[in-house]
Amino acid sequence: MQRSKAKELRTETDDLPGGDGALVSVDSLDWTRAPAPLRRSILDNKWALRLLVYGGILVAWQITAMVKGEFFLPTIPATLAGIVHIFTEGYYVELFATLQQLATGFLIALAVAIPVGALMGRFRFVEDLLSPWVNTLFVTSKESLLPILIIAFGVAFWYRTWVVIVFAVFFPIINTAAGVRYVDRELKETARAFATPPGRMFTRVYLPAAAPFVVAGIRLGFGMAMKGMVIAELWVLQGTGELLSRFARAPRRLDLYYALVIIIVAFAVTVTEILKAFERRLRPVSSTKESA
Amino acid sequence: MPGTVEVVDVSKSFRRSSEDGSLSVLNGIDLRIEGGTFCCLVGPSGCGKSTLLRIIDGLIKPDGGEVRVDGERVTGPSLDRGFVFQQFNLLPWRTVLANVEFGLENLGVPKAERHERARKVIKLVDLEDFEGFYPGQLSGGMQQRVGLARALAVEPSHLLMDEPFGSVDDQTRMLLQEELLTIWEQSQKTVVFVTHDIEEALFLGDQVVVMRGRPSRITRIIDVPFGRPREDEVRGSAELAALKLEIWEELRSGATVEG
Repeated sequence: MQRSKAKELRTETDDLPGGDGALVSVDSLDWTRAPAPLRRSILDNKWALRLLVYGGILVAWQITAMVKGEFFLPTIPATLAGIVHIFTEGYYVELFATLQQLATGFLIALAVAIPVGALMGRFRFVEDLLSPWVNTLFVTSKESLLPILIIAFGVAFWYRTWVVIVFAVFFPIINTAAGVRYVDRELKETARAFATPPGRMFTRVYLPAAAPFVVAGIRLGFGMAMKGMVIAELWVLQGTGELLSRFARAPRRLDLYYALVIIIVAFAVTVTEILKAFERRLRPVSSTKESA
Repeated sequence: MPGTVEVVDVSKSFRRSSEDGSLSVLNGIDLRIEGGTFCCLVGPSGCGKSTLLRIIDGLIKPDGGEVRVDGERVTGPSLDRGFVFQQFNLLPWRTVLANVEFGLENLGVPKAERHERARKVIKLVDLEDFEGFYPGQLSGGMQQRVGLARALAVEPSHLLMDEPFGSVDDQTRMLLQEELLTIWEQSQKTVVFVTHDIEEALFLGDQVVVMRGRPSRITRIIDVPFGRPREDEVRGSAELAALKLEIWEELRSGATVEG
């Protein structure tokens, strides 16, 4: 019941100026103000507005492309055809190899980050020991580490996987640590009262309680992993990075270039949205009923 | 009778965060609770009754003295003692059923048997239609029934309850008191029940232990004269009113001394 209510509220905020599902504090809305006179404006309709603005951008793209020629900007039909070509002309093999490195690196990053973060959140001495490293590396430009990684691992699979790890690992560590650190004292005491063994404290109490934080960390880490994936290959001109670079140089194939970028972005957005949906599901169920 | 709790010369201080020195909460507490007794600890808030309850459970270690349950020294929490908390403390991501199963999981009870045992206690607290609900969807009274069911599910020989009905409204509290008595009368567990509500202590308990002062001492132990099963009429009896007044005067004299 509460779900649908929250949904209603969300859609309402969607329609507010600057809304787009952003979390608008309910308190900040003046509910008492009389409704504005019913003037059906296009500004009130999110979809009409989007159609107008995005459609406008697409039209501008198409016109610019037609005027300037494909050397600067491919037309929309050419780009769409490019997406098909990526698959029919075999370029997808490079893309799949790249995604494989992304998946390997990202899973290794999570396998390290979540336990490390949980231990940092749980034990003060682990936090004291690791937080200077984590915080320093977190703010370090990961790009500056690429030469070292190349020296250590060459330019093949493990180099690219390591770049993904280095990019992706910090958000999930920091978020998991914060989530575990702020688990309610009462819940910890309850688990102790029921004689929960230390290992099960993590799997049954700390991590479930911190789950929304952990998943948010995974989502942010994924964005970084995508970034690392592309940068790693652009640096050594291998795989998908090499394709991007090649399509942009003579003989230019900007149709394929844009197509590849669109595929990469679409993939990243899809995964991020799935993680976001997962995050929403993890929020504790509550209702308007008085609970105390 | 099994289930006897002995508190022997227990003392406990808490370190103050702001200043030097420590705050002595309990000092030289001796108490013997016979097996199968419903024992209520009453006293003003901050008198250390909840601390004493946690020491009995093993959640807090005493600075001095010890607690023995059936002659054995308590060194930590055990699933032989079920704990019910004032703020329910249910796991918000688990359904009612899964919350009740929490202790059983720690006992290593296999899944099928876990479900069966959890459903049995859920029925006992009248929540069989709500086993798929999450705590946030339930009222305070219902949440505390889940808290009680969770404690009962592990079939402990002791039930330790920390102001369990302190966060629910009056009517729900009276209903829960009656249900607790019905359940307890069938099981004859040893109950240690902390409350600041004198009337509640007298209505429920066989024994009312009055604590006051800082550090806290046990100043009175009253054997409650009402029979079992306890009749609802006890609530309105002159005898209860007289005992309530007696305990209140006892507590008030302490309050004035403390200033």
